[in-house]
Amino acid sequence: MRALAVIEDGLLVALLVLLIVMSGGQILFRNLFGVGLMDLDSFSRVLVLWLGMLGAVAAARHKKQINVDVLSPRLPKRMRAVVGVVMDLFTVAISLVVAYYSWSFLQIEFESGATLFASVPAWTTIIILPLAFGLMAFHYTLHAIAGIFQLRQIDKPL
Amino acid sequence: MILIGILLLVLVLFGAPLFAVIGAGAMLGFYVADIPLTVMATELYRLAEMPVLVAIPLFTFAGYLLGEGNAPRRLVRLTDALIGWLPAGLAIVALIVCALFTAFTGASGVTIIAIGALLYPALREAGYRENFNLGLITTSGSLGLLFAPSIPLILYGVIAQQMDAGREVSINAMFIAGILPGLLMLALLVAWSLWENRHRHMQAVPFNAGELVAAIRESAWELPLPIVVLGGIYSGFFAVSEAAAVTALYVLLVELLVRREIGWRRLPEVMRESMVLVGGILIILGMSMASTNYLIDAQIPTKIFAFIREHVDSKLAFLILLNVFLLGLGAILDIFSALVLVVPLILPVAIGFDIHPVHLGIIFLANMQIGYFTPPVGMNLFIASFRFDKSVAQLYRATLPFFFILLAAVLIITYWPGLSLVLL
Repeated sequence: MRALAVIEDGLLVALLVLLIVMSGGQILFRNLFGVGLMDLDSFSRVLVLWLGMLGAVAAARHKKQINVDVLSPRLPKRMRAVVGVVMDLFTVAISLVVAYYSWSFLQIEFESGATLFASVPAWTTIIILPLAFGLMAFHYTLHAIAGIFQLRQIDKPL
Repeated sequence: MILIGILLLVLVLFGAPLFAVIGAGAMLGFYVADIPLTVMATELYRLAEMPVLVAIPLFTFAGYLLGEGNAPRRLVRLTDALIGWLPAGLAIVALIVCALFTAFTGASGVTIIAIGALLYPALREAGYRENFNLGLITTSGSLGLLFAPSIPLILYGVIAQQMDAGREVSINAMFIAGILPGLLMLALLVAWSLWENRHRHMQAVPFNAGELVAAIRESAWELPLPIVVLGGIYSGFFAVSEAAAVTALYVLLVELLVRREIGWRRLPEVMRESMVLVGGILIILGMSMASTNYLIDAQIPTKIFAFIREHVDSKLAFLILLNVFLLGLGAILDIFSALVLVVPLILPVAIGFDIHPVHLGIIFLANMQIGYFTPPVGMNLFIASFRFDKSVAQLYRATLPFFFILLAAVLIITYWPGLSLVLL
C-alpha cells in the first residue's frame, strides 16, 4: 500500500517538475531563438491531463475530493458512518464505469493508430484515464472497508 | 427525470464527491439518449486539448510554494513600511496584502493560514477590536479573487470559451474586467476600516524611510514577481500560460536555491498538496464538460431561458434573481464546483437577457467571493475558526458587517456593467 502511494506521488512530482522545466524552457526558446516548439505545446497539454488525473487519485487517497457535505455532519454517529460507506461505494461504482469506458476508448484509439506528436501514438496518452479511475475506485473501496470497520467499532457494546 | 435530479442532489448534500455525482448525471443522460458512454472518455480527454489549462497547475503550485516559506512575512513587512503609518494603517495593510496574496494563490484558504496567522496577532497587539480583527481576516481570505492571475477568473474564461458564448471571452478580458470591481471592494473595506476605528487612538507609527529601504531589500527576490506577471499579462507580452510557467519556474528556483526556506524533503509534499487541489478542480471540470455537452444536446439551457422569460421580463428583474440565486449557491457550493456546474446553465440565459458574458463572470465571482464566508458552509469561516480557535458562531457575528459592505459592492458591480467593461 505504501509502495503504491510512493509510486503515485513519485509520478505526480516528476510530471510537475517536467511541466515546470519544460514550459519555462519553451519560453526561453521562443524568445532567444524565435522558435516555438509545437510538439512541446501539445506534450505539455497532455502533461496537464496526467497531472490532473494523478492529482485526483491523490485526492481520492486522502479523501480530499471536492464535495459539499452539509447534511451528514448533522446525522447521528452511526447513520453518518453508514451514509459515508454508501457514498464511498457510489463513488467506486461511478469510477469503475468511467474506467471501463475509458478502456474501450483506449482500444478504439489503439486500433485507429492515430498519432499525436512526434509520432507518439495517441493511445499512450489515454492510458491515464482508465488507470486513474481504476485507482480511484480502488482507494474508495479501501475507504468503504475502513468505514465498515468503523461501523463495527460503533456497534460494539462498551 | 426530476426524480433523478433530486436523487443526485441528495447524494451531493450527503457528501458524495462532486465528480462522481456529475459523472453519474451525465452518464444517465447519455444512456437515456442512446449515446455510447465512451463519450465520457472523449470529453475527459479534452482536458488535454485546452492550452490555457496549463496555467492552473503552474499557478497553483507557485502559490502553495510561496505560502510555505517566509514570503508572506516579507510581504507584510514591506506593505507595513509603505502604508502602515496611515490611520488604521495595519488594517489597510491586511486588506492589501490579503488581496495580492489571494490573487496569486487562488483563494484556496491559503491566505488565512499564511497571512492571517501573521496579521491576527499583530492587529490585536495594535489595539483593534477582536471581532473587527477576526472579521477582517476572514473576509480578506477571499478578497483579491477578481485580480489576475486568480484561478477562478481563468476557470470562468475556460468554461465560457467551451460554451461558445457568441462574444469572445478571453482570459485576458477577464483579468482586465476584474480590476475596477476588485478595487471597489478593496476601497469599500478600507473605508469601513477607517470608519470603524475612527475613535480609537492607536499608537501612530511614523513613516520610516530606513525601514522601507530595508523591507524592499529583504523582498528583493519576490518584488519582480507581481511586476513581471501582472505587467506581462496586462501588456500582452505573455500569454497566461506563459506567465504561469515563468512564475512557477522563478518561484521554484528562488525558494530552493536562493532563499532555501523550503527543504528538498518538504518540496514533494507541497507539490502533492497543490496537485490534490488541481486534480480536484480538473476532474470536476472534465466531468462537467460531459454533462454540459448532454445538457446542451437536450436543450436544457434553452428551456430554462424560456421558462424564466415567461416569468421575468426585464433585465433588471433577472439580475436581482441572479444575485439571490448566486448568493445562495455560494453558501453551499465552493467556487470551483459552482463555476463548472452553473455557468454552463446560466451563461446562455444571461446572454438571452443581453448581459455581456465577461460581465456575467465578474458578477458570478463577486457573489461567490461573499459565499466564502456566508453561513452555513462558507469555507473560510471554518478555516478561520480552526486557525484562530474561535467558535464558528463568533465568526458569523464578526463577519456580518463585512458581509453587508461586500454585498453593497456586489450590487454595484451587478447593476453597473460599465465598471467591469469600461477597460476592455
